[in-house]
Amino acid sequence: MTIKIEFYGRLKEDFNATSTEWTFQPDTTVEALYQSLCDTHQVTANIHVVRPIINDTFVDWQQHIAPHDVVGFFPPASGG
Amino acid sequence: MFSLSDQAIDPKRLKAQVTDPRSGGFVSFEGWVRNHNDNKQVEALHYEAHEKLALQVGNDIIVQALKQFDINAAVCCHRIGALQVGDMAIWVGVSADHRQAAFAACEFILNQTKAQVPIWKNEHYSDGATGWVEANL
Repeated sequence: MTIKIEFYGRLKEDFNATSTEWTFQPDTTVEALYQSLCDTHQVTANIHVVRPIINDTFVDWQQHIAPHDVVGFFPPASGG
Repeated sequence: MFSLSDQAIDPKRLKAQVTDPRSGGFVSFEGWVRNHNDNKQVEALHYEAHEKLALQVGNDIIVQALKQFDINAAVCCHRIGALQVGDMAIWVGVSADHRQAAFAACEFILNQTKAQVPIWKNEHYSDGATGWVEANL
């Protein structure tokens, strides 16, 4: 099963991508997905400051991902 | 109402949106691109947003301000895309019967927008480097 992952702000540089395809196992949470991405890219996972979204909706880190989901990760906002 | 713009912000047009015959005053804030940050010379910057959620979160902030403060109207517009030094990055305007509520609501909207709305600032420095700014509260 595959999903699309999108990175925003500095996370695009941390993960060296704007978006990517990812193959995952059933019952994977968005937190497990992010941890796996961080491990692969040797990025420190700080889920206390990063916010996940799925299909343009804010979700909890324990939300399970489903095939064809578009998962995004937001670093802290810095508008203004 | 909260909006995003990839064109120069027009304060006159936005002020017209908060003009209200019930109001005895109007407070606005303009945020501009400055030429320095954290001891670095800033030449330009780029704002990136998740537009759908930025509009959703921004409008939730406006609704919250209208409930929390005794105001009559509130508007916020944030630039996205490429900006130069001196360009206006954000405009917040509030009208109210009395000034205290207008000042407080204007600051609330600005602070919440900076903290909550999914917009990210990438600064371009005079030495050619770039850097993402975070949590610039």
